[in-house]
Amino acid sequence: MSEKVLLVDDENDFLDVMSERMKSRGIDVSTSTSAKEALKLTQDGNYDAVVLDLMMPEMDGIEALAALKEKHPEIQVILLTGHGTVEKGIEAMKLGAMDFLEKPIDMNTLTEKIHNARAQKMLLVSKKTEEKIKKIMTEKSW
Amino acid sequence: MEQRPDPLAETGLQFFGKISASISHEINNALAILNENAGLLEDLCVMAEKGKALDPQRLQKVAGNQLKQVRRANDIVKRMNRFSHSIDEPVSQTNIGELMGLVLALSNRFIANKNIAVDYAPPETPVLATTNPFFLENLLFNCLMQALETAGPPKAVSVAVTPGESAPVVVFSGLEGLANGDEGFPGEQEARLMALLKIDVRVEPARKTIAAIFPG
Repeated sequence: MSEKVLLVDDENDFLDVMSERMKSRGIDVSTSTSAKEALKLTQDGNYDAVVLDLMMPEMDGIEALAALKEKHPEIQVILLTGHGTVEKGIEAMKLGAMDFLEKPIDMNTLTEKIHNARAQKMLLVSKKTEEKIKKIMTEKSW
Repeated sequence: MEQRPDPLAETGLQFFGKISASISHEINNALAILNENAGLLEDLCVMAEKGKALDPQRLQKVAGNQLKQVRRANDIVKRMNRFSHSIDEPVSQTNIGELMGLVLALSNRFIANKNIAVDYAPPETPVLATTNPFFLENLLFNCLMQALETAGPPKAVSVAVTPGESAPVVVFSGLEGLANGDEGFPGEQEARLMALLKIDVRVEPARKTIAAIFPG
């Protein structure tokens, strides 16, 4: 099964070409031009990774990252920026970003990070399920 | 002993840095799209090598996208060049309408980040003033930033340059969020710029406007 990714950037031209390239690599990609819309799209939590631009109107990538991680701690977020700074990178990692990439992006690096994101998400989901089962086992008397 | 630069020079440098950073971000965005289009061409070549036919229309579309981004980057660089040259002459006869248009174009990113619509129609006849163009750009940029902070709802700001009764006036209107005494505007930076340019910046909450009035 392919990785399910949401790509968020306010530049339509960037979304078009990136999604075409990602699809040709077997990634199941959806796009959004705003962080607010991205939060709605991720409500069911079924994305493996969200690739998020740092600078966007209304709600920037850092705010969106915090909101995403609060609702879906297992979702892996990769931040993109046109002018990455060490400070922003540290802030993003502290908030739980999986990684931080500077534009222009190297597609092979991004693809590799998306593969890793899916593995990481599956690990977190399986841990969560294991914990749930353990809890049920200890709470119920059979 | 701590050496601090001249406060006015510091104000100007901060403004120059802010605009340069925003421009570099815009250029980088155009480069990022060019980079992906070049990557897409590589992908298409790899597929062609594997036997998939190259679609000329697909290639035309990629070329069109690249040209669009080259034109975009070229416009940004032209604006940057005009902005950089505005510091050449300390005082010159300046077309205020054109200068306001440049300040708005340089502020594209700031305006987009606030998601605010800015309406500006340049004056039909040139409105001229003998002034320092660079520091005037700085003062009008600061007024615009304050206007964006206090805009709407609706999220819209109108900018007008008029010859005025006795001196040119630049008015930022539609500032529904402007309130009495809570703006901290004009602040220290603006006060320095106003003193140098002899421009009076009036914040008028009743009219929902900020007006920069040139010396008569």
